[in-house]
Amino acid sequence: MDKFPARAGTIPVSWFETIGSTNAEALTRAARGERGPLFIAAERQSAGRGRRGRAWISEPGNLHATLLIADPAPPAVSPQLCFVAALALHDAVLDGCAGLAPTRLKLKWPNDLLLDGAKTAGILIEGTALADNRIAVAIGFGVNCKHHPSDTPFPATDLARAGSDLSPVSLLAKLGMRMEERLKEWNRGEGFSATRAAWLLRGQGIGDEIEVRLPQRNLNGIFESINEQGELVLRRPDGERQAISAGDIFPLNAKAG
Amino acid sequence: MSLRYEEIAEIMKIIDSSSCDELIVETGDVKLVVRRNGAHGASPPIERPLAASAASSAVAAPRPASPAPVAQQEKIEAGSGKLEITAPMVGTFYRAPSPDAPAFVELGSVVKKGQPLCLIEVMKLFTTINSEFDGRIVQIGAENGELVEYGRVLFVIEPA
Repeated sequence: MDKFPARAGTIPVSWFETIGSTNAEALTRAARGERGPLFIAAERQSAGRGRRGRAWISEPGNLHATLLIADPAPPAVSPQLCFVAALALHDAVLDGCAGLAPTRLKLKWPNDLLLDGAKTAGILIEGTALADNRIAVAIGFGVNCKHHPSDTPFPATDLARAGSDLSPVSLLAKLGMRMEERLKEWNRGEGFSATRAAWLLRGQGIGDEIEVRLPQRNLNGIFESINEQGELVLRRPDGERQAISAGDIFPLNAKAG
Repeated sequence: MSLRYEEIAEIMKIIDSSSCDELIVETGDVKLVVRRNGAHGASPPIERPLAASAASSAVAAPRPASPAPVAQQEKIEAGSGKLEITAPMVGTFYRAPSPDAPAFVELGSVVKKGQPLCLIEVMKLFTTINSEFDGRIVQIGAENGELVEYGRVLFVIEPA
């Protein structure tokens, strides 16, 4: 294991050998008044979590880190951090995997990192209200560097499969730097057009037929683009366009079977 | 041809005074779809009070232990001076931290300032909405899994 650095970019890092969940720790600290930016990183999570309470398998050798930021932007535009974080992670993995063709790494809406079409990292952002209509966010990164789960609804993989020996410590150092750059570009939401354009260049399945799984039903259509808020624009079979603000997407082409 | 602002305003008035939930007008290459608040495309209000199906492969949400009213809004009478908790962003409203967990609060629950009331998901940002007041929940303004707009009243609290 590499030496744990005290900073990633200029952001301080608090390292743990084992922790319940890096997101939970960040939110606890936010509730106590910690304002960040601060990374909470752990070799192992005993209660790693994903979307809607799903477990996130957290093996040593993978990266588990959360970036805590208080008041990153007005609450209404803060969801755009999904794209900011996804781009920073895409940048950082390419920095760390010499020789990996950029086209093999794609972003699945809104913010999963895919390697050769399989999920190799997930990002879960949890916000908590502060006073005065501001929020603090915990941006949790789970990156499969050396291990990946096998029983997932969407196929998973890890960076080692692509011949990478990128360590979590080395990846976090790159992620900190790239996150600072992408946050600056986004500029509290005012620079979202640049963020959006960069995301669209790396987006998976744009122009393809997809299924969107919502809490109450599923929708099919063509994944046309993302709009100025970051919502997925779905063109329904009747030609109507619908903006999707949350949901799981799955490809519907024959290969995905 | 195109529709003028006045014409669209007139159409809005008509649907507003009617009992229709949705109106579609097609003239030449223009298609106008007008829906009432609750009939928003991504999340119609007609489903169960607590969605039985959860996203993706996650475990289906259990039914609440006590029967929930079928109406879109749950409400009990409150005195004057009620306080509202509104949605700080557009997104999907969840009453529980995960599909198989109990709701944060129920109608009639007594809450403390800072206590979590619900989650709103947008993209993959989950924001916990906390009570800004001590009091009792007298109205829940959205259903689990429903898409809520910015400013939508999510909870009405009768102050303690």
